[in-house]
Amino acid sequence: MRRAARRWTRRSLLRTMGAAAAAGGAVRIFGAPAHVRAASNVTLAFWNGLTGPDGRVMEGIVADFTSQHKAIRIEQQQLQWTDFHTKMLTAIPAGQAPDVAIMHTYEKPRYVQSGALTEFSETDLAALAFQAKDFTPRAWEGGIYQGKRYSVPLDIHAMCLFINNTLFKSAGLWAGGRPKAPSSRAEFLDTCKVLTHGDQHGVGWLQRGVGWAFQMLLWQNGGDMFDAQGEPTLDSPAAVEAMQFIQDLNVKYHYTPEGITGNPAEAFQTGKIGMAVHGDWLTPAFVAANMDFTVAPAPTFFKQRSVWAGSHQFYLPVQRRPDPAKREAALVFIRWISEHSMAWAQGGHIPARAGLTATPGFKARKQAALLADAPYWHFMPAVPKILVEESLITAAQEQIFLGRATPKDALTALNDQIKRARI
Amino acid sequence: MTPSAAVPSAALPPAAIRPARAAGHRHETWTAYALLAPYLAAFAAFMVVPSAYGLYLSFTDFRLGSVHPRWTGLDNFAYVLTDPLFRTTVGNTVVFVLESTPALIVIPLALAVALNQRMPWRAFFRGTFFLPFTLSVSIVSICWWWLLDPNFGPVYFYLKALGFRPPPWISSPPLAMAGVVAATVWWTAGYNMVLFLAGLQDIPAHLYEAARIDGAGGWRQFRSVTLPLLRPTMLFVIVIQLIASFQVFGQVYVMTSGGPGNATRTVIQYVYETAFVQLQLSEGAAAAWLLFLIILVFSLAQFRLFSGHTEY
Repeated sequence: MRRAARRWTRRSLLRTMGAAAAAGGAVRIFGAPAHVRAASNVTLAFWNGLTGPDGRVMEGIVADFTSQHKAIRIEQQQLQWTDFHTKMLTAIPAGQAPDVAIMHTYEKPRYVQSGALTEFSETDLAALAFQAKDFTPRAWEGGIYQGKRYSVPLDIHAMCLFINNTLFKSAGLWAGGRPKAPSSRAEFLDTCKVLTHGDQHGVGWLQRGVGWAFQMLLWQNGGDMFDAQGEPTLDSPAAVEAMQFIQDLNVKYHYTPEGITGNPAEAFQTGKIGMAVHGDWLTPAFVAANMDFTVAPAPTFFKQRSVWAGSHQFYLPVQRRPDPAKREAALVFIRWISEHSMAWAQGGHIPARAGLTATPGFKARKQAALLADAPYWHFMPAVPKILVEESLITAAQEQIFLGRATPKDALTALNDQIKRARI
Repeated sequence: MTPSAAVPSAALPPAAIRPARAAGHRHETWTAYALLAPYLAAFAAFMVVPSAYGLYLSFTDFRLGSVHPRWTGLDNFAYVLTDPLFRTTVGNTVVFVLESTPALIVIPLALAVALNQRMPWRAFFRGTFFLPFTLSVSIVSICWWWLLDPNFGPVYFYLKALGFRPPPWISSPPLAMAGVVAATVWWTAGYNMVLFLAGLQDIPAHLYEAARIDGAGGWRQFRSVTLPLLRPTMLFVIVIQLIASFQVFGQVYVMTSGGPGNATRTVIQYVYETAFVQLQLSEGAAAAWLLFLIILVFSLAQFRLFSGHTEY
């Protein structure tokens, strides 16, 4: 009898484990329902790729909006940009499109190819009360592709030079109450040299790959990523030189930390690196960390001034069953956020509304220093293969960082890889 | 999947008593199909039909939204096979299989043998070792990503305390792969352990008694009784493990995104990125079917190597 009891226990244990495994599988398959609709009110699905510190700011803005618009419910989803585009480009043809989305300007060709975007009509623009004269021209024009308006602007975001004030002060790089921000390649290298000692480095890249910084250097060097046919030109001498400079900062000058680190932004916050070339959207993270830092314009590393920039824009994806009430609510939502985009400036960005950037409130923000770069803002090119480039460039750069490929070889391989993509 | 599926060969009734059961046989067959029906329906709807459709797509120039895809023959297969990145990912996947499969056989087997002994807290330990398997891949991967963080993770903390100065794991291709393998072993070892436990419990106790009487020690009993009689379970575990290892994706995608460089980019990631990031769906389908062929070849080789009748 004892024996039988023990046997049963053993069997039941195995069975329980099997059941647990099966239940785990069931939960994965039959997860939460995709849409839980409110009966009378309008619910808008709002998707974006704002997973950085600016995403928290957007959450706050959405909460403010819903507290003032009881009839409109917002269901926000934030995903990494790569996963975001995968989800969007498969969800829209499947009839599961969000009602509103935020993307940049350069993805349009891919979306227009698959017929995923609706145009903003004159009536829509009238409902938004959006007029060209109210917006920074670069951001306003970014909404148009092949003569059609597919998006309306929220902001401009630009690449900048983040400076750790404490390290600059102790290195004697301080004058007149502000850091001596380098503006040329020579000044940049000198500054790095002064800042680099012990386990402290002059400069760091705040992402695993440095795709955007590389793009800026390429433009500053007179090159471009794609030709007029939309085919990649990332193996050009200008591109190799730009990448070589990034590599030299590490292997020749030792001004950047070795290898690839998991949390580079942490290294900047904790004073392990003195400068960082990155997008202004990291500003709120450093503010939240109570860090003493400055946002300065990015230096000119090569022969011409060019500053990497982008614009977050609102899109209205194609719906399988268009609902005028939802579209109307979406326009109300977009208009409200745009009119309140001073709040969005907390995310480190520059509001696309020209009127707002002239206010004392914005002038007091750290990124106000970047407005002077407006004539040099360079957006990523709107070509279909840009999304392929985005998904492959990190690996190419890591090959270089690890010394497994020279800049020329890695860029040639990357270029071939993008060229052979059939889209 | 229930553990008892591990030992199908032992479950067949001896030939001599089969005729006696023939009467009820037809009835039993239909009962079996009725019980299988819900699973078969789901299997057909979510596995067979999509896979077959994927096979069809791999011979066309299908793109999202295209209504009449054109037949392009082997063009997509040529595209994938001439892609240097595909060859890299196949190499990486084979490395992952070779590193993870032995660990996921030896460790679970050792755990199963240990936990098949009479000992206090046995059920607790069995449950504990199985528990990680019930977690989702993203949770496991994120936990390991933090454990292994070179700046704040405990692994690097203790290694440094012991005087080692290892490079950041994500900076070194072999370490990056080892990190993914470690997470995978921790996550799935418990499942194989349960399969081995089930196999061990089907070995008659009298064989061990006989071995003991013949003067066999613990190691000798393991080699001469346990291992040979575990053969069917072993074959099942190895084949299932091989298939699972070839399909590695989640851990890698969350922990390394395929980096550094392309050092941990696997075939499934290639399939995913080709099909759903670059939206070359037909090329992605072709790559998926090529992976199926690779797995099929390896599985058949395993059956060749391990099959054979188990004598009691």
